Amino acid sequence: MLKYIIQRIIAAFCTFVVVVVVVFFVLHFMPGEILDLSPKIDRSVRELIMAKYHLNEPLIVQFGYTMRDYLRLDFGYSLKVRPGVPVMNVVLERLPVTIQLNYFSAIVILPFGMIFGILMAVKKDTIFDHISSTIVILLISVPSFVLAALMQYILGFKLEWFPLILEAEPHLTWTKFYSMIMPILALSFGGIASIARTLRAEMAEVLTMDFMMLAKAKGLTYRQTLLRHALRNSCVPLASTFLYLFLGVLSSSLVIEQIFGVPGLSKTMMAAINGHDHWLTMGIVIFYCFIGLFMAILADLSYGVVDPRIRMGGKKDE
Amino acid sequence: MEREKILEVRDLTVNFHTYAGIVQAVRGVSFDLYKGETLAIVGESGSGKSVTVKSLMGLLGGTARVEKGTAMYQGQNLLALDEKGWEKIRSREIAMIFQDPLSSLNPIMKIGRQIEEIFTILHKTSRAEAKKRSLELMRAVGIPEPEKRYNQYPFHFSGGMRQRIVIAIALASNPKIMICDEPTTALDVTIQAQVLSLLGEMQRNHDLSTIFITHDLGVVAHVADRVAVMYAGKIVEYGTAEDIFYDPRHPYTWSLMASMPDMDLESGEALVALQGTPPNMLVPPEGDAFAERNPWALKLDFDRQPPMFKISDTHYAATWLLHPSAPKMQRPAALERRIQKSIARKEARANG
Amino acid sequence: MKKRLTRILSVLLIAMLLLTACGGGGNSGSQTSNNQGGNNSSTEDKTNNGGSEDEAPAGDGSGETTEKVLRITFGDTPTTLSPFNNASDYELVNDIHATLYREVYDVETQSKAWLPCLAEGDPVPSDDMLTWTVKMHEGYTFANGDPITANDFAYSFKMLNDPKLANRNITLSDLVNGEAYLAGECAWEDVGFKVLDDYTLQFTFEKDHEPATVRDMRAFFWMGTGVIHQPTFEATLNADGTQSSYGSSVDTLMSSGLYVVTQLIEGQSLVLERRTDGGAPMADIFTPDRVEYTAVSDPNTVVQLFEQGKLSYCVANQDEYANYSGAHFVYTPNNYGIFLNSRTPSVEALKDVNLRLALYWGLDRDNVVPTVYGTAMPSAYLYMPYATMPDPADPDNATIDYHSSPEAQAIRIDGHPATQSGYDPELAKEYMQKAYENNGNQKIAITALYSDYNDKARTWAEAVQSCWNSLFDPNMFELSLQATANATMYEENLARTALKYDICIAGGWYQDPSQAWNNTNWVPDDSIYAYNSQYCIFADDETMYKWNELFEQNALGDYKRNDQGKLENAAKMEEILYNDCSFIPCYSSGNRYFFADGVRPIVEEGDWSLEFYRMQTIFE
Repeated sequence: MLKYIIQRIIAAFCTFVVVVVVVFFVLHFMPGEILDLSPKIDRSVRELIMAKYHLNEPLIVQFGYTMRDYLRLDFGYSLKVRPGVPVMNVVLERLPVTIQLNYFSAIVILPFGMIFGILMAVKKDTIFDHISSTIVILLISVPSFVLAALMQYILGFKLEWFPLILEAEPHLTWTKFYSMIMPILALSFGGIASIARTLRAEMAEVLTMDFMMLAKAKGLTYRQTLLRHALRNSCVPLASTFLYLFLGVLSSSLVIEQIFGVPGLSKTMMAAINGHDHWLTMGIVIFYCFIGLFMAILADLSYGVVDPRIRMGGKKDE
Repeated sequence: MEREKILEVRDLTVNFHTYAGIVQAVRGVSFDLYKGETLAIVGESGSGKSVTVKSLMGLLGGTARVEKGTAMYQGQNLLALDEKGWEKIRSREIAMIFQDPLSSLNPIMKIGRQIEEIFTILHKTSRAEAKKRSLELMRAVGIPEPEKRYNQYPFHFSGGMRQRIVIAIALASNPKIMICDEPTTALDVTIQAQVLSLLGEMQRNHDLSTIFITHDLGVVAHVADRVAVMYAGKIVEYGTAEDIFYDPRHPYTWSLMASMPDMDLESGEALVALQGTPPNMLVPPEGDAFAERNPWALKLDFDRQPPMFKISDTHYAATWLLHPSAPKMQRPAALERRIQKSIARKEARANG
Repeated sequence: MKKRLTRILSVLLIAMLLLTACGGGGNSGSQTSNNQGGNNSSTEDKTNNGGSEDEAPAGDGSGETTEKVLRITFGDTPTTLSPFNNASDYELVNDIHATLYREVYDVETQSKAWLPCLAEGDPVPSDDMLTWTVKMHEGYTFANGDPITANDFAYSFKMLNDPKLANRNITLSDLVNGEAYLAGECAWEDVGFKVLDDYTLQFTFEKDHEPATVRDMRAFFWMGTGVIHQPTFEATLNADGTQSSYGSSVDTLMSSGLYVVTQLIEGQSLVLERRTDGGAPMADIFTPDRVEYTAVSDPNTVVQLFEQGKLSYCVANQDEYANYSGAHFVYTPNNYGIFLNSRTPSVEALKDVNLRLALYWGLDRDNVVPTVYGTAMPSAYLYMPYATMPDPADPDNATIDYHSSPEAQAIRIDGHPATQSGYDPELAKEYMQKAYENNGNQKIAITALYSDYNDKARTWAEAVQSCWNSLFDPNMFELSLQATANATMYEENLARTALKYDICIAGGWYQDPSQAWNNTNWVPDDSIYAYNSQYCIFADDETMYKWNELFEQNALGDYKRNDQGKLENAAKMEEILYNDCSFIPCYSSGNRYFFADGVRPIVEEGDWSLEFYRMQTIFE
């Protein structure tokens, strides 16, 4: 198991390096100037700023500078999106609300996704299954921002059940949480749907397996066979689905952040990319990449937690 | 000597309702299980034998439906039970051992837990007590080092060992009837013998009545007191082991026996394999289902299904050949010779 | 099994607590500083119950009056509140950081004007106009009570222009030795900037870079020169003095203006409160007691918030609000239109000015523009419709409407007067007939590029296409369309160095309405200031040189202080542009504003740069 983990970490590190290098060059090959100063600005000022950030040197030299800084764990300063603020501080100041939002939506996604998935598998091919499957397909295919805008209009504007946008409070208070409900729901629908779909397929398969019949033959009630035998077996692929889903939600909530006025990281990322604030973009990408790889390792390990065959490396001692 | 009937199945009919139509899997099967005896149900795959026994445990899933028939056990009709009723029968009264020990254990649950949960959940014992009894069971079915094995997972176990665990699970609630659905098919020959003898031992020790499903007549010869030969959802011949082995009457039984390798086979003599495939049970033939593949088929076989003809008090067969006005057909010579040899051997054994 | 479940649940619970805690921690900066404002609790209450303005403020000195709260949205919180690096929130930054002069709406003259802020009176020039002396008002203080003196301005000005910090708003190039200092060739002391005494400053400009008028000198003190507080700023410098996080949070700034920041939740909200210590400038001009900015970038959300009464005013450009009464408009100083590449190798006919004029006169802007851009102002003028010029009679203080001046009225496009609508189908057909004949009676087929930026951009291109194709004889002229990526269009197709297009139905340029002849997109190109030289080019070099001569005269030469000459030149330049016809102006974009009951803008129609002078909003 240890060897497995080390292998995974080395592979993740290589991926990480490749991502950093590729992103660096992709960003710098993007059309558009890093300095969007007015063309009227004096050449001297322009050159002063160019020189400060090594922008007048060949790209490969700039790459060298950047990598040298990264090796010292110095991620530089934001140039335009948050001028003068260290990149990691920018990430950190936007992170809490992003994480809160995603964490809460994960809490919503998991139980609901599982309950729907189980119900759909158990009631496979009944009218309940057909209706739920249709809804699931709908939720997966309708972009979350459409749902978000609809929800905002109906629940927030027409019915006034929820505030239209996230409450501006420095701490997570009840009022703020209450205003988070709509964005959380908007983020959750897709997740619930995809978890439900995965679980339904997985569980429907598990339910037809021999050991389920044995469990039944043992005299367990239907519910006991479901909970004790079917669920955990169905969760093997679910573990990774969920972790990746979480990562997806973490990065794809841009429109939802815009609609509900959430000061999340996606907004900063878009601003950084559009504004050619490459240092900040790199910092955010590095951060996401790190989280992503961490999640991937976690997902791999989670197979082991759920499935002993993987944990024990398939060793047989007989 | 009339033994006590423990299970009486009458006219059991099971259909699968599929998108393609209704598949008639079991068509009016009747048999009796006597206390302490082993009834073997023999037949090809798809003959309906597994469906028959699964319906006796309420394990028919999905599209299968019991259309009619009764299965009387201790004065109640099992086939009329609802899910709640079945939960009282399964494991406590009737237990089952499945064909493939590789897939019949939960792959991600510790072995001990899988036995133990019967005690903790069904019998509401304490964890400690449940563990103690599970270990006893594991020891009884011949698992070495049960304490160590208790915390291992199925993939740590070989096929034979897994089947022993499945047997232990089946025995855990002290059932009256044990159904073995091809318990040795997936195992190596040497392991087969061990498992069979374990089963025999357990049957004796626990005074079990057993329904033993197999397609292997060789196994039947070892274990069965009575034999039911099934073909296309029907029992075509039914009798004691002796009836079947020394005086088979149905052409299908002949074919089965002729295709069975044993020591009586003379060198150079080819096994006779049954030609053709079983009929499509979506549209069962009007006449005898076996007629298409039957070298001795009469014209009547194609038109009308034969009734059960009584040969003796214990021996019945469904073939028009037994009709008084049917032409007298002889069993194939090679088969006849093998039967005579085994009768001779049996008599020799009886005489010391 | 149960035990495991409890274990998992407890892990989840702990993680949740940690996250919530860390969430709080991340924002704690703004929390602690919240208390700076003094009446923190009332701030919170107000935020929660939205519209109730009739509640008496808790901590303000003015106990009896109703608190005047301005609630507005912006796309995102400012990148920084530092005057040195902010690139867009000029007003907001100056509300916090006072400059020497501030551009506001002057009620006396009923016009936009630069009024003294930290300064006392007007800047005084030397006879050669190169040296200017500015007197500062005594008695103004920072929010913490420290007095604001000439030395504070000097420190701010030095930090603004510090080569190590390399701020984007550096304002030094026009001063004596400014360039040399930035290049590291001389000391700060050699720069044309001196502190004469505690309240007097002196600026010395390079020849030809000096302000032409007192007004220009006042405008020298734009946002970048906002005064910062030395100890606060020094605390935000990194070890080697190359970066400063000044203005990134409530703790990293100190107000020298009328407003203090009491809450800044990054990406979400910003609250300004009026200083009541009496040490801040412009207290009699700005009206709100508090300004609450909320970051919302979705336009529908903004309108919904407004309709719920949570905003003082909002922008509502959606078509469905076109018929609502009470709308106010602000037109952006840009001139969107269609580029015609008269030097393209692929379409010979575009070299013929008759074709270009046919297209100019053949576009029904008044009908086509509103169907696509509901809030834009159609215009066929090369200089935007509300362009102004300094009034030759009083250039320091007054302006005239350019297009109604006799000089502009005298402009002729191939003999025809210029109008704002610029649509004459018969004239267009005549030109097209000539172009067709000049083309050897061959049908003229051209493919136009448009940007795939959004649906509107496509709709606009299609509208132009259908307008021309239905007007002109299909046997003479036909336009087809081709989409191109917005991201690369300007650099790879439109750029002066590329010019890879025949017709491009996208883009335009910004203009300064007060000097429309000097559009902001010009860059020196081989010492020629070709008009709009980034994206298109004159049909022939002779015209270009002629135009360039006029431009240099206006921008750098003799006409610097000759406003009558400047006005005449400006008109001549526009006439050249019309007759060259390499760019067909179509519209200026605009925004539709709605104001809530109880607040009223100080002007009926908004100003292009200061919109509705939000800090002078009238509360009723």
